[in-house]
Amino acid sequence: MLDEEILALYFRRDEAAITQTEKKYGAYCRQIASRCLPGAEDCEECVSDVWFRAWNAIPPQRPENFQLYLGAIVRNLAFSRWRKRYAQKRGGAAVELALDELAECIPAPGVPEEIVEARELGEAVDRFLAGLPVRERRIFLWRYYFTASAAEIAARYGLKEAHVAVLLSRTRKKLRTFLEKEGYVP
Amino acid sequence: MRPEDLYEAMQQIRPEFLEDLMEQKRDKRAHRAFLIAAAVAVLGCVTAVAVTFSLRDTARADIGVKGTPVPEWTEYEIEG
Repeated sequence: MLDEEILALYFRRDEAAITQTEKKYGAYCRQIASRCLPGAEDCEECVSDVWFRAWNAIPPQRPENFQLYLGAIVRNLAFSRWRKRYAQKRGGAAVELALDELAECIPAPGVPEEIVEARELGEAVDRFLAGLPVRERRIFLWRYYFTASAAEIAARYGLKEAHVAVLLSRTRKKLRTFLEKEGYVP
Repeated sequence: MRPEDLYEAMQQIRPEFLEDLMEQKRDKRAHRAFLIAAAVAVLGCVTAVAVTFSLRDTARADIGVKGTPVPEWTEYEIEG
């Protein structure tokens, strides 16, 4: 079923909308959730929350890109859940490795933490991404937005895993330099 | 700032960057479909040519025609 047709079901308040969304995007949402949440049960609950959120938000919202809209919800929900349950005692989720890598872009532990506005930081990251070559940007986003592994990215772009790791490392260094220039990193 | 803040901040990036990733996925599928269609078309053409030539050769052999051109084709040619 086309996204437009699914959205029309939401607007008619027809519960088949949820069934159709699950049918079309269930695997996609589960994949994103599973990268943050190691337990299958947690993952399933998170995906159910996504359907609930979408049901409550549409209407009045009408997402232009339904897949990305759902992806953003599931990423948010799964990460919030990870923060609540696993941030202290890590559970082996893929996101933990991604966070360890991102730690290279920020001050080392011991430097006093500065509270940064999420929106402001988001805008800075957006500017950084806009200045990156397209391939580097795509690889960076697969890794740190969708939390895809280096092996998955390598398979997607026909590269070697080691090459992807090198590209990601270079981009992280660039991000650190960018954040330093912008005053986010001392 | 913590790595978690950076990870969450990425939620703010412009949708075009993400749409680009999705479109690429579609492009890849379209590319694969195009390759399969092209392979099928090439196979079809090769088969058609092979069948045509083998039928022609069989028909010529059946009527005992050997060599090219077929004598009947040049029978009424005006010489000089």
